[in-house]
This record gives sequence, structure tokens and C-alpha cells, in this order.
Amino acid sequence: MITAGVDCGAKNVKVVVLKDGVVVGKAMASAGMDTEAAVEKAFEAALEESGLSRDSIDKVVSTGAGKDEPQFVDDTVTDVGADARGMHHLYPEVRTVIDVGAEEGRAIRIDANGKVVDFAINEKCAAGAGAFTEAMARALEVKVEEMGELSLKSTQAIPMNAQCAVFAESEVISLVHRKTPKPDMARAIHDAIADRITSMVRRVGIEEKIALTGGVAKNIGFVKSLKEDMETDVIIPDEPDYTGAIGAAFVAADD
Amino acid sequence: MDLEKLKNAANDPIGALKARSKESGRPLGLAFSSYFPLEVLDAFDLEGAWLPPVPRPDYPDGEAVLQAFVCNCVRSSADIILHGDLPVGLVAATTGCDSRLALATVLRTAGVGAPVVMLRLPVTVGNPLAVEQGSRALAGFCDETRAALGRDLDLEVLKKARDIREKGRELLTGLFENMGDGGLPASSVYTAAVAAQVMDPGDLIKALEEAPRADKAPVNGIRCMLSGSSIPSPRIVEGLEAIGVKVVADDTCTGTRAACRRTVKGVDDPVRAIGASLINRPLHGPTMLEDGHARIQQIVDTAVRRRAQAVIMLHYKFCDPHAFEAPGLTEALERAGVRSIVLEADREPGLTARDRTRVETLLEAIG
Repeated sequence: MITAGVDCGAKNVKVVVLKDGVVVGKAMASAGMDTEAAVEKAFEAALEESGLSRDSIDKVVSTGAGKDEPQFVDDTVTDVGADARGMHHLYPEVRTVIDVGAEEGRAIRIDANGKVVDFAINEKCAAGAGAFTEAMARALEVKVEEMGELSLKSTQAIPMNAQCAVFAESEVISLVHRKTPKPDMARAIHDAIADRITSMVRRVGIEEKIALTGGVAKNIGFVKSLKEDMETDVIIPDEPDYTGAIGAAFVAADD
Repeated sequence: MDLEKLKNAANDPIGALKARSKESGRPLGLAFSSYFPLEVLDAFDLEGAWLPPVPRPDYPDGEAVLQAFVCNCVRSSADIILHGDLPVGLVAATTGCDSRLALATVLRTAGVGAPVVMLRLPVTVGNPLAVEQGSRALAGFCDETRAALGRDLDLEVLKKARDIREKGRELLTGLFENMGDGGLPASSVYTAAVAAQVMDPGDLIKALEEAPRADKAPVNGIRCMLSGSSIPSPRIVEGLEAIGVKVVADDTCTGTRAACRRTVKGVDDPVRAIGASLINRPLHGPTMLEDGHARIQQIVDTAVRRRAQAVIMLHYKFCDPHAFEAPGLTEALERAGVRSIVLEADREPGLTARDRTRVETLLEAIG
């Protein structure tokens, strides 16, 4: 059976093509202002990588914040459901999934069959998500991709209020005025997000093994803060951006 | 059911209040709590109504005086009254949660034209003194209102208003009891409940008596119970139904808790009987209970009795009493095998995209 999973995230659209349970094609495109166009672009690229035609796809399932936008999909699944299914395929031993994307952080507890037991989602604030890092990177005048490496050079922990992304930005500006070294500020930002994510994970109950997915999983500074905060190791897939799309493709295949 | 009349009132409660006052020629007596006995306001020659929260993007008059984090219920109430285009003859505030208690002071400080009178109920119910205190509190409220308005309460009007309002609450209770199972869909029941806050009690009864003949609830959907504070608008329930929720039980300020009060029998003085009924209600919210566990067990029992697979706790943001009970309720429901989720309502009339995703996830997890 050939299926496709489309993850319409807030920042990027990811598409995965699955043939008999094996990923044969994947692609990503910036969501921009036109989600449907981004989906088309990523879909075509994923098909090209798979060497398959559009007609050969038996079923398409979408997920993510814009999951209802693509008109050609057969079904939808929530981000939580897709993450759970995707991670269960990648690492069946995982019982807690943490997904930190651009605008949303999620903690999901799953059972041995990959079924969602409990979940929590950061609510009406970006302070537990990737957009927070982006805003803070702008305040520090560094590229967001450099934030991880930068924070690893930190020599001291600085407490920071991350209850509100806007107030936190003011706090960063105060730290800049106090001539605080940039690596320490970068670490403070990652520690703050990690604190919020850890609180959310505790709400659903931390159960080993734990996996981290979503675009922010590529930020090594945040990963270090999260591991220290949770006092445990976390598994990170090779391509953490694609877990949701993989999950959606498997949901399509499961049906 | 004359759904149109109910829908019009529920969708535009302020418009409904203005029209009602214009038609009768009487000013409005507005109460801030869904358990306030409106028959008392009726008996003071006012059009008694509960002022429902009205979801809006901004509340310029309310926000000008409320700088602290308060629930939108209070923000909306303050805004509507201070805006000044409602013909308000009396504002009836009540003790209970901090916000409602403080609202009276806020309105007085802001110089609202109408008198603001407080119904000082006992801090906690469930003790032998509470019923007596409740009766005295209502008598005290009537004394203060008499002084503020310069006229007496009409006992004959009170008795008639008591009976007609009670009939309305009985009809509403019936709708909630049958909600979802052969009865009305929840969106229609909550439409009736919101409309009941502002409609003329006689008109309301006529509309509600037709209710069982109106549309039937859909058969499919995941059976859920709604618990929490006020329902900002029936649109939130419509949003839940649209994604596959079948609401079969209620424990909200707008719903069964507002409708459950019954006048205590065998007490000659109607004011004392009504005062006692405020304390003797079978269902209380979390603001007046010393033993929160009893209330939590009551919710769990209802969820189990109605075979609800999940409880959706719908809270106004900054509604502390409900927020404080959520952890205990979540745990108790989990023990009973019932899933739960907390949604925070703020200024939006319906479900936000994020809340919709969260509920969809819950439904997916239930299967």
C-alpha cells in the first residue's frame, strides 16, 4: 500500500510518502502565506524522491495546524495522534513524546501500542515553542541556527522569566544592557523553554523512554537544557521535523 | 420549541434586555450570579435578569476600570453596565468568588448610576447555620434594596414570580436531563439556558414548553459532560458538536446549577423560603463549598450515570474557583475511567482553533 502524510505546520509543510511501511520519499517547504501552494511544492518533491506518481498514492492523511487546508487529502489526524503514531513506528519503546514545533509544544504519553494515554499542549503563549527562540535570537542579533552552539559556551546559569515571550524579550534587552555574555543569555533562553516543557511533561507523567521531536529538537542548546531539567536522556530521531508526517502516513496505512 | 426567540435572546442578550425593558416600561434589575433569585427583583417592580457574559474582542468601559487579571465574566459585566445604554434600576451583586465580590466596589467607585446592593450569603454551605444565614442574607438584601429604591417589595408579585420562575427552572432541568439522549441537542439546550438569563419569564416558559417537539440530538458522537463556569455563548457548544462531541450531561454555572434551585416548602415567609433555597440547592459551584470532594464526587457520579466518556472542563480564564478544583476533579475522573480536558474561554464566542485541536485529540484518544 502506498500512502502519504502531510504535516501542515505553522512554519513548514512536511510531506512523507510511504510504501509498504517504508519511507520512500520526503520533502519540506516553507508554509509561508499560502499553505496549499506549499503543500503542492512539498508533495511534488516527495513524489519525485520516491519515484512514484501521484495516481499511485492510495490514501493521503494530513495533520498539523493547517491540516484542513489541503483539499485533496482523504482524512485528517491531530498533531498529537500523528506524533504518537510516528514515534511508535520509529522507536516502539518510547512512552513519552515531546514535540516542540514553531508555535506549539506538546507532551504525549503513549502506551505499548502507540495509543495516546494522555497529552498536554502549551496554551495561549509561545514561550514553550520555537517561535520564542526565534524572537529571542532577534533580540540577541544572532541567527536562530546559531543559538544552540552559542548556549553551549555558557559559563553561568541565569534565571529568566518565560511566562510571556514579549516580557522575556524585554528581559533579554535588560541583560544586554548589563553586558551579560551572549552565550549565557542564549542558555537562559533555552533553560526557560525547557522549564516550561518539563512542567508540561510532568502534567502527563514522565515515563521512560522519552523522545523529542519537532524542529526545535535540532537545537542542541535546548536539548542540553531539557535533558538537565528532566534529569534523563531523550531520544531524538535523525530527522525530527518529519515525525508528524510519518505518523500521518502510517495512520493512512493503518486504515 | 420557539427556537428563534431563544436563539435571538441568546445571540444578543443585551438587545433582548433593552427590548424587554422598553416593552414593560420597567428598568432592569441585573444580577451577577446565575443562582441569584430573580423573583425578588421582579417583586421590586424591576425586570429581573442575570447579566450574561458577552464575548467581544474588547471591553473599553470595563477595561478602563479593571486593571487586574479578572475573568471575562466580570470584565464583560462591568463593561455593559458602565457603558450606560442599558436602563438599569438596580445591580444585585453577590458574595462568592473574589471577582464578583469586588465588582460591586468597582462599579460604585466608577460611579454607576444605579444602586448596587450586595446579597451576602454565608461563606460556606453544608453546615446547620447556613440555611438560617441564607434566609437572613436575603432579608437583608431586601431591606437594603427597599432603602435604595424607596419602595417596598410586593409580596403578591413575589409569590407569582417565584412560581413562574421555578417553572422555568424545572423546564430547563428537564431539557438538561434529556440532553443528547432522545432530547434536544446540547447546542439548543444551552441556547435555552443562555436565553433564560435575560428573557421575560412568561415568554421563556412558552418557548420552553414547546422544546421537546423541536429538533432531536444527533445519535452519533463521543458522549461528554460539560463542567465549569459560565458558557459564553451557545456557539462554543455548536463548535464541540461540529467536531463529534455529544454533550449528554452538564455541570456549569449557566446550566443545571442555575436551574436546580427549588423553593423550600413549609416556610410561610416567602423571602425566608427563597433565602433557604439558595443554600439547600442540590448542586453548588465551587465557590461556597467547604468540602470540595463532595462536589467532585457529584460530578463524577453524574458523568458515570450519563455514560460520559469524557468531561470537558470549560473555564473562564482567571476563574480561580474552577481552576483550583480542576486537578482534584481530573484525578477523580481518571480513577473512574473518565477522560477529561480543561479548556479556557476568554473573549471568543466559540472554540479557538487550538482548543478545537485539543478536543479533537481527546476524541481521537478515546477512539
